[in-house]
Amino acid sequence: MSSNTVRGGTMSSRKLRWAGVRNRSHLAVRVLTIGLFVGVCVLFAAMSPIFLMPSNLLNIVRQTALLAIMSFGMVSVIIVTHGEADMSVGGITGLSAAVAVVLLVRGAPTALSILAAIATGLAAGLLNGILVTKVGLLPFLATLATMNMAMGLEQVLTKGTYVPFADPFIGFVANENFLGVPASAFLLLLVYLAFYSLLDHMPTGRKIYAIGGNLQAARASGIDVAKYTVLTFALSGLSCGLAGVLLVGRLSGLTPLAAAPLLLDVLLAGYISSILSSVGAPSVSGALFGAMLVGVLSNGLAVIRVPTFYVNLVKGLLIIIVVAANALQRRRRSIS
Amino acid sequence: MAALLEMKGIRKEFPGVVALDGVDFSVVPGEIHALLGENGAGKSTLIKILAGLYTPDRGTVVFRGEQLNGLSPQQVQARGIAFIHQERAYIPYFTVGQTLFLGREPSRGAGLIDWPRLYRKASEELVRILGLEIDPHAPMESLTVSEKQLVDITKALITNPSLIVFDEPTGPLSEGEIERLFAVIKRLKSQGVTVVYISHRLDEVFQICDRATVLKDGKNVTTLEVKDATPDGIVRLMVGKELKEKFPKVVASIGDPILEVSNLCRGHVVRNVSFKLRRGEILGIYGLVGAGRTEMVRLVFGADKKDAGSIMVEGVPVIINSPREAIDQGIALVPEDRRGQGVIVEMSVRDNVTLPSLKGFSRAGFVASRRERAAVQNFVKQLNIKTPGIDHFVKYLSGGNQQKVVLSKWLCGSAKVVIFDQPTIGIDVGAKTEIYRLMGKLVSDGAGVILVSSEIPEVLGLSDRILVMYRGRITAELSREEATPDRLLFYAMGGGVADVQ
Repeated sequence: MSSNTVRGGTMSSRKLRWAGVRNRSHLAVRVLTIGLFVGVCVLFAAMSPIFLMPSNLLNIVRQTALLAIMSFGMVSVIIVTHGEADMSVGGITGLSAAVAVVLLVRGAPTALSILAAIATGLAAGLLNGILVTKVGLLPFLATLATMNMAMGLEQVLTKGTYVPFADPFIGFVANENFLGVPASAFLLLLVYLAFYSLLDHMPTGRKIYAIGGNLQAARASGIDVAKYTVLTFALSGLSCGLAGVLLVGRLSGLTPLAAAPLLLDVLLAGYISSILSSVGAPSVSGALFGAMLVGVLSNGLAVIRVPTFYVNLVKGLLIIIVVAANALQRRRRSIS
Repeated sequence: MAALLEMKGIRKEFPGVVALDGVDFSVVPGEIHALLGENGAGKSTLIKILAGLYTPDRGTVVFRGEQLNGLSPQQVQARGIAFIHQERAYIPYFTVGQTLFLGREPSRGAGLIDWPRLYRKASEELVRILGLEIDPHAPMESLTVSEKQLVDITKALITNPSLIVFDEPTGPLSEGEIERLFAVIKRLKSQGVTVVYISHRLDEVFQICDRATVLKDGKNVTTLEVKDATPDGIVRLMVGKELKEKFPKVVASIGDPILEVSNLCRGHVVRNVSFKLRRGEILGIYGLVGAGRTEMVRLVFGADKKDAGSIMVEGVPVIINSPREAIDQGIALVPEDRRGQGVIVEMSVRDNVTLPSLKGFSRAGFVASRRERAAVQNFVKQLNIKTPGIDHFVKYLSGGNQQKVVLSKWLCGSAKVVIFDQPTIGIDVGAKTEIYRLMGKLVSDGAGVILVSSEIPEVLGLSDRILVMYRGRITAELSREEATPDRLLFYAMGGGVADVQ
């Protein structure tokens, strides 16, 4: 019994010390990240009167909804692969949008077209998962291959040109307000809650985190690693399918490869989530914040009329900073 | 009595090695059955086959009358076999509670995890099963090695398995923790749970085991009643060597100080440590888990940042802030965490051995491969490293042979000071002896050796002088003549320390 009391004592004192050290460095990163968010907002507001106008703020929400939904899938993949990414999100979103728009043009009902788009995303995600787990490709290569195939198919389906189609329901969700708030914000909230519940509050989420945290330990705990890895990639594909539908609404049709540049934004949102986390594993909530930050940044840079190529430069730089911050935190953890 | 577990005629072949060759292993209900053998004897392979991690090339596994061949690890565990693995695996960012209930989280309906209940149950189970007062909210990475292991054991016991396999569970534990573990194992036995116990510590086998099966070179030697056996007898069965050969103490001539450490500090972990190491001397450092021994030698090696303190090598003050600088000064560390820090398992024996001394084997920037090969081959022969060839990947070697690869790494360069941190953890008797001999060779060649160990016989048997650490401080310095097991333990447990906070 005496050793128990000693154990309890050392444990609590050690924990306190540990918590103190840990919180200080992580607090700094968090404050910096959130400070960046606020700072960027203040800067944009000062530089352009348009930025804070209600119509523009609502526009940011609409733009961010699409990005955020994709980010939830991306963050799941980052978790399960311990920091690798799904490079195919832009490609799958574009392909799903193409499937939807082509069906709509041919007179298919809205519901069917939406389901087909989501099913397309799911199938592409499943393909990623199978390539990674059963064939044994690196996630980066597997998803890069899928991205290219998806983009090719998208161009085949759209014949490489803009396909116009204004579906009233999809258009409403993507562009209109409901109870004074963009309808897409409700959709975003719904998808967020689904991912948040799954990853933070359901056994499936625990398993996904476990696989990314320590593959051997997960296996030893009786977790079917392949199954849950496939599931995670499928989820990412699914979220892209949904995003594809929104894209059709935003563009009132589809411009081929319009979704391709989203990859960088989604990556950025996903990795911002990693640095926000105190334990080094990203979270769905962090991805939501990351998507908001990227959304504000994209919109603000456009509003203050920064040319597109500079925007890309800024985002590319941000990726390096965010990933470097991530690596730094990981290194610190491995030393302590 | 009908066997609970019956493994018959198990054969398993790996590229170049027959790991198991027709092994039979039979466990009856309610017994504690030791599985013994040198490293490379096939114990781990046999257990991995039982666990469903490997498929045997031949042979059958029958548990409670049901054939287990071809089942997945999950299916095996679902049938009531739990494993406490040698390499403790955990998820760093999971809390203790999340770790305990991974895969069986309590639900509050709608598929959602009931977090309050999970943490409440975690607290209860930790106390109920091992009497632990660990905060279930603490992240796993904040625990010590022994705390992690105790959580791991608790986790395996939650499911109430009917057969538990312990793979060297006591390695990193302190005396008190070992006693508690044994109490738990005995309690399990009284409840009718069957235990397979793999260990390299013979005293443990005699303390708790009923029967023992001895393997050698992938074949059965015998299964015997422990009460009819003697430690010497079992060692002879395992290796064919006498026990008294265990500590081949080499008396080298002790010369000038080669390493002088003054006032080394790091937080509360290492406090004001000073000592001298002389040429030709083996300096033992004894202490219980958490005493700060590993942390202290890591400071000497520059692996962690020191708050204060100075180091002199051969009387000259040196600055050591990184392992690179330590290596340049001729200081080498054979780390505790062999697989994590000692060897690169995805590289060949040759690449591992020459990694720190590649410069010496290079000509005009290219590795002179003939000279390199010859040198490595020489080590393989000298150290008796069991490997099919020097281009064989290190991951296929047994623990003892991996350790020898780590040693070759430092012997290959010319280290003046070699620090061994728990060098024989998880290593069989035969390989241990060879590692002890190497220490002897190092000191007779004029190097100084620091031996950090938790095993009293090892420290006593090999050291010229012993420092005892307690809570980050050196609490005693004993000469070879003064040192006795009682004294070491007395000082290691804080005896004689005036101001214990």
